[in-house]
Amino acid sequence: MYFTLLIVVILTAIALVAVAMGIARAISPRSYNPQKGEAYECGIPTRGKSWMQFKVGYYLFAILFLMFDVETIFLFPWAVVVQDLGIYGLVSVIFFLVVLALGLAYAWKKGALEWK
Amino acid sequence: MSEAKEYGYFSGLFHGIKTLLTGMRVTFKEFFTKKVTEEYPENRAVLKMFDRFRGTLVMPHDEEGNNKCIACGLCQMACPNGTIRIESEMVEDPETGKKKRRLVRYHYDLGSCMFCQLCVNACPHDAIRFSTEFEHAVFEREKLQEILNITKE
Amino acid sequence: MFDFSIVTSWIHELLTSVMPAGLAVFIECVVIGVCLMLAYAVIAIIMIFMERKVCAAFQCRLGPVRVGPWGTLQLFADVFKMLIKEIITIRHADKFLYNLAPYIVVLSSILAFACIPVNKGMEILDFNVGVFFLMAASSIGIVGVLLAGWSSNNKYSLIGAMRSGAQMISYELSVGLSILTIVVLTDTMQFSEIVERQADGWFIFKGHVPAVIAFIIYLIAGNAEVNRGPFDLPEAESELTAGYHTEYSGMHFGLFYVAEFVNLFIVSAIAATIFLGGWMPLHIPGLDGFNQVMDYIPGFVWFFAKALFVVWLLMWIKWTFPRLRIDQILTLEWKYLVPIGLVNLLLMVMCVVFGWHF
Repeated sequence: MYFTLLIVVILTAIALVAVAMGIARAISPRSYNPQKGEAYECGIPTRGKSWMQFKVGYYLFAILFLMFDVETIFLFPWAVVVQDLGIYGLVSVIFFLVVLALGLAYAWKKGALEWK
Repeated sequence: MSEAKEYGYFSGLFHGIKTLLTGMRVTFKEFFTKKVTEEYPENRAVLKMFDRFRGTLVMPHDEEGNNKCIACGLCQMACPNGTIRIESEMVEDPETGKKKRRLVRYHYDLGSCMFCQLCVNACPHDAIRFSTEFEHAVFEREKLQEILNITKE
Repeated sequence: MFDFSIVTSWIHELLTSVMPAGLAVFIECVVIGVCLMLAYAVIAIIMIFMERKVCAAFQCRLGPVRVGPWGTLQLFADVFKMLIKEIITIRHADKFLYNLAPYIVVLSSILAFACIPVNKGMEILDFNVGVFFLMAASSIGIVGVLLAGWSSNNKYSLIGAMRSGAQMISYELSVGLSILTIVVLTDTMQFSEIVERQADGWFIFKGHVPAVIAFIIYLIAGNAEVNRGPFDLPEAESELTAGYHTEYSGMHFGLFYVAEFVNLFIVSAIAATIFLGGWMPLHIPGLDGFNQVMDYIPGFVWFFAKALFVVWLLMWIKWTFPRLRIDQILTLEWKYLVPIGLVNLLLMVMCVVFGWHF
């Protein structure tokens, strides 16, 4: 039953966007003009290709996010049963979190968290 | 020039929280104040413009219809736009025989006035002043040319 | 307390008595889909109207008052205006991705929207890993934003989309950690169970200090997650024209706009559900008379009151503070919110294990 409802929700989302865009394309005016097809860069003509090279900072933050997100995923099942595990659960997860916190501290110290 | 104070980790954290809460208190008080928006066409009955507002030029007359203008032309010379045009005539005073200037018509073009008040400042006898009436929209441009003085018949 | 499952089971019996079960399920699914779309649109309209009025009240002015009584029809006029605007596609854009981006953003928004329990028995997706699913669904939106920026053939859109992506993924972590803190307090991830367990006091009272800290962290991180408030650098007009949705016009842009406001509602509704009790009335354990009186007010009134209160709180924050720069946003997250979140999680686990909670 869950799966059916999930499919219904996904189809609703697609239908909502399709209906909105359909109505918009049906009743909106259309006029072709080469100036309108240009990208908007504060009014000046574009220089060079628009797909430029990225800053490496984005990549570093993405890797850090990946690590911590996987950590969060692992913590979810533990969080559900921690009340039954008692102190044993607390101590074992402290080891896990300490290892990851050391990773964050290392990244902080090495300057990976600065934007430049 | 004083240096910005450098905060450590925890002192920076608490200082930040304190300043954020101060800002939020200010806007919280602002949320409950009475709003100053005037909903214009609906509040004409209670609308009161402030006294210094320059709406349109008028020449005040007393109960018998006399005005204080002596047709000196200082306002016409002061106006940067040439909005004011004075028609005057010389009349002979019957008792003393001296000739005096008298105002016939005082043309005022509301369409070209820029409400700078130089004419009012120039007048030596306070014959003209600005009133706070601001609803001047008309459908024909000729209606904007006004004659400000009232001639007694 | 009004139980919505009475209504749903009555409709199901009514339909199965006149037609075969498969067709009845199909009709129910269609009805659910239509109701979901209408609820989405209505919530978006209420949110945008509330934003305009609340923002005006904080700025000592009145907001929309002319269209309809107290300006209530203003939003319908705005939606109609957006529908009839011309959709300008730029020449060198990647057409498929350009059209796909709104689908993904709205998909993520609707998936999250369908998880929220509005009343007893009134939720669409009630997985037993509800919280986990919610986090996964909100992560899909990031892909949509990145696609929107990438496929517009515009350097500024690209920068805006990358910054927005970096910001959103960073704050996902804090959202996850603060929700995890509450999952530790209650040993379930299913939304309806989370609300049921707040029958003897909301979690913000039951888990005292760690829950309050988690609430504050969740509000800040949720705000940043949906690109709102002091964290709206990707769509700041003075910085990057309109960021990742610069090149979208008319209803194309309208979909992003609507998704942003419904995301705001979703963040507030989840905060209200997890921390403030969802549709559960305020019960003080021990005062039975008080609890009986509180039970007369139906669940969805409680839910909307709480969710709209949190929305007002977030709007208060937005209209008080200036925008943060991208390096300030990322510093706030990685150097302050993640360490504090981890310490708070440990604090909550200690409270649960040693029994220091109510």
